[in-house]
Amino acid sequence: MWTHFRTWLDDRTGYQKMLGLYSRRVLPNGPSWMATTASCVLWMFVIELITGLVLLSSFSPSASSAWASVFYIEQLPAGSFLRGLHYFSAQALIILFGLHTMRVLLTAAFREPRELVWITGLLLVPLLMVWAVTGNPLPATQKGYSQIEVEANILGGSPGVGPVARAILIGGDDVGNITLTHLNFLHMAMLPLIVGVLTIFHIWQLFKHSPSDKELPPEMIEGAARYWPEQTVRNWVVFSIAFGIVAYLAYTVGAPLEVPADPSIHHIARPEWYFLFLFELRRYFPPELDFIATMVIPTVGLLFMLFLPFIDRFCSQRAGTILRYVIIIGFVVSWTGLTITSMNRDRNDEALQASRQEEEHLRERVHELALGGIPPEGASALLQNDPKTQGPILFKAHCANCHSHVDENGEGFIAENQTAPNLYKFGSREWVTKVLDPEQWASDHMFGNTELSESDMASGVVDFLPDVDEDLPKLIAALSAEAELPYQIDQDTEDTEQIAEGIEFLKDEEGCASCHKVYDSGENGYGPDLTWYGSKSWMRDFISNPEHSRFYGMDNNYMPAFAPNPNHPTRNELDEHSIQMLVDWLRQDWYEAPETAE
Amino acid sequence: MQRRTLLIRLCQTIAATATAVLIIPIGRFISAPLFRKNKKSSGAQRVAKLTQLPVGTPTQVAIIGNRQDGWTLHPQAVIGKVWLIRRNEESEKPEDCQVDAYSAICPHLGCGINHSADDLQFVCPCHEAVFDDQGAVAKLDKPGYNNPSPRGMDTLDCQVVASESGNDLWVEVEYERFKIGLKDKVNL
Repeated sequence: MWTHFRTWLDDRTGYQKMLGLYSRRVLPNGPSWMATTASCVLWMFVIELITGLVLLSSFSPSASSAWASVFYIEQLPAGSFLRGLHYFSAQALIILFGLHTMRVLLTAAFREPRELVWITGLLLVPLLMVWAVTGNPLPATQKGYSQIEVEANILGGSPGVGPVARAILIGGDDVGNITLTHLNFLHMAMLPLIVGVLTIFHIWQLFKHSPSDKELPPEMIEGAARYWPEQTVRNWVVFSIAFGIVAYLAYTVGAPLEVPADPSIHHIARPEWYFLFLFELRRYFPPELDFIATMVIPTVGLLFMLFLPFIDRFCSQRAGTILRYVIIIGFVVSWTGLTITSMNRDRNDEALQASRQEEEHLRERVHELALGGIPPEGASALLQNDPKTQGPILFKAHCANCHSHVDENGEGFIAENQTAPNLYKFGSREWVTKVLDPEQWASDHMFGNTELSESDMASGVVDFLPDVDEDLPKLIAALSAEAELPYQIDQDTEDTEQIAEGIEFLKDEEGCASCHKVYDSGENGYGPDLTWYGSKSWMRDFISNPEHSRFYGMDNNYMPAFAPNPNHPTRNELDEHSIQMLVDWLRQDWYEAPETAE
Repeated sequence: MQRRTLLIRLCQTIAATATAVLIIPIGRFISAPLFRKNKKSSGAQRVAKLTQLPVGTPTQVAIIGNRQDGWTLHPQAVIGKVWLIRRNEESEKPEDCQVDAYSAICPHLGCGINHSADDLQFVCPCHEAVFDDQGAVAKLDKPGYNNPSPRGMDTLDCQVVASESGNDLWVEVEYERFKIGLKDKVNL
């Protein structure tokens, strides 16, 4: 039955003759481990195509959803593994391609009649490079965007067609949505097509010029090894080692997914490791001659290599061998030297390492946030709306000159010029305790360096507190509960009764309310309003304008009003969103991933 | 000959292993939607004040919730529509109020069901499935009419509750979705 079908199919297609091309190849010189590189490249390429195709099924090439869809792929079963395969196979392919080219050079396999095999093979080098370049930015990470930005500018800097090519690739002036769709098109349609056609031609030429047992004299066939399985088994053993390494890396390490593209993140761009040699080479040229390193030298090198079969003809046996060895050794030594130099330079660059570490923190945080759901506007909004990461940036820029923010262990921001309180846990019971303790009130980390240290509050606390005495904890709990701090919720609900009693103390017209407004007791104009003290809205209003009559009024010390113009947002130093981020950060009010039950 | 067979077996083993390393993860990746657990109902939510509902006439309300669409979380989006019918005049004691809730998703092929004020019937505009005011499968008065719906409209858990202040009565619905095209009402 099976035989019958095979005959039927062969009568119509002649497939057995085609397979014979492969299975009946003979190896007059016997099988070799050296010759395994071609097969490794081919199969690694097949892995790349298959995994790419699967990833394509769930990838969304748009600036707002690319990162999110890649994150989603990472969460799918086996998604991380498949993406890891795609990522590491690409790098394995580059290494194997290099080895394969060197092997062909060593054995001078480009000689007549195989010049076209050599030429099509070499044309694949720049195409593979472009393939890698168009793939790396697809997840729309800040790193990928920065890389394509620089690479497009290198392209744009080449004389003549440069600017035009750059504009077409980027789709405008800036890297963005159009760039991503263009890269997607190149990476997933154009390049597979061109590389596919070249590869098929390359392999067809190879078979055409390989001896099969039909063409060789009988005495050569006698006892000669067969390609299948003698050479095949060698090919596949070597390939399975390479694939094993790739699969191991994909399974254990996986492909990285850095911080989503966001212009506010300062990323120091570096090319991938396989381009570092060009990056290093650039350093040895003056800026106006950049293109010599990045465009001219690679192009001239490629052209020289393309013509090698024809140059080789004019060389004596000995000169040809020397030339081939010089090319191989020259390239390996210079590539390795340049790459290692560049890596060491970066390893010892403290600013770069610090920046990378900062990004690593952001990456961990953005992955945590993404697990809670990615909003329709895309992953970059996750960090922009995250007080935990935005707060410190804003605090450092606008507050840390006067205010410290230092926890119990001395960790945090230390004011350059501490003229204002340490705002760590503002509004909490610890904070209120310090406010109501005359000793601490006057210390440097509270109001000691402000004019308030001399104010009626300092003496008022001293005069008034003895009356409260054992009820002081209630007062503290009540004032702190006004802030409704998320990290104090449990305590506040537990002490509802004490808080209710404490509020009565706050409202005492002889005590706190003699200077402060507390709900309907007391009046504004002397001390700050204690209604909702330390809450979201209180803090927002206070930072916006401490000179408001609800707060310090005209007695305000140095604290700037960051948003005193509600009707003219553009005139304010900080916008509403930034103030919100600051307030939420000071209140430690941010998203934390739920503890996963093990 | 012995050696040749051995080598061929080795080649086949390598090829089979490499294929398995690819095919198994790909199978798991592609089939992920089949094994995804559906989110349980987001619980009962208030959809309307009792006073907004006329007695006997169906009113359509939207259900608002977080809609997870692949990798995107749409906060506070419309996740479904519900037909409410208030059955009596009672507006004092929540336990005596009677309101029925029906999912607006047609059990035939999932279109949105309309209500026709003229015939006092629910009509699905896609394939003319018709339901009476109790949500049961009904007939259209025309020759050769066959109702395509396999079952009546899907009822939803619905109750009337008093607000915290006690001043308002709210209609609470627990929104769920059910499999399309079956005779029985089966949760999605």
